Amino acid sequence: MRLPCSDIVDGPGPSEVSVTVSNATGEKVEVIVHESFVKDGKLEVYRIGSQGDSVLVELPRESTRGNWRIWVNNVLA
Amino acid sequence: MILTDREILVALQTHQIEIDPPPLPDSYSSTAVDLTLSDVGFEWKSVTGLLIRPGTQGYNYHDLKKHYHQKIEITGYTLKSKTFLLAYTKETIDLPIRSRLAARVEGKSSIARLGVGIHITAPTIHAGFRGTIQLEMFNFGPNDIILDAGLKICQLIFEQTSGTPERGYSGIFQDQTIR
Repeated sequence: MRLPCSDIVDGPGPSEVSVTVSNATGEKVEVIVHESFVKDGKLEVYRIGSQGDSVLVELPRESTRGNWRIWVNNVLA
Repeated sequence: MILTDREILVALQTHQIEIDPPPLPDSYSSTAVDLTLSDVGFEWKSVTGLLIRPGTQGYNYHDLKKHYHQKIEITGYTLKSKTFLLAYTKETIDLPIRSRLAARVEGKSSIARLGVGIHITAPTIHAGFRGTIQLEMFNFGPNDIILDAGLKICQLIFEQTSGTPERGYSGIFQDQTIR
């Protein structure tokens, strides 16, 4: 499953990129991942479950704010 | 359960673990495989008055990095006493989620006895990890240490998980409604 992401820039490490995805409330979540997790402007994430219009996904790495799992809008997922 | 050298080799041959470039035969010990230092690292610039508040809305690592990271080449690089360095392994690791393996990156005694730590409380390589491993290095010793790319800098210890994590699970309980 892939989520649209923005602000795709070089990450700190070799072959890393920093990207931003939006959570269900519209907050930006920044995550630094190996470049292979991003294709065509979309980040590979993993669907864990759902609740109403929101889907809980796990990011490929811990976000820079510390969380691995975020709620995202079902439409995006 | 920790994998032995023989089990690590089997896992590599069956692509349950990918390490690129592959470790040389002399990189193994009984229960670990050594990884080497890449040629790129970062120092944080010391800025008087700068306050960092991670975990809050608006905190952005990329902005911080842009202004306060200094990229360095690790070739004859001097890690001064009581200084911090962000470094990386040369090897890219892939632990496919269905392999039911996780790992821990740990220091090596040859480096530790000089006073150099290679991670600061973040040694876990989760199942599903793909990438180079970030090393949060600190020289606790009284002397400066010269680092070169290719140095055997850390060891990876593989552990079998007792099940498949949610994100790699495809059984009947997959994607349940969360209450």
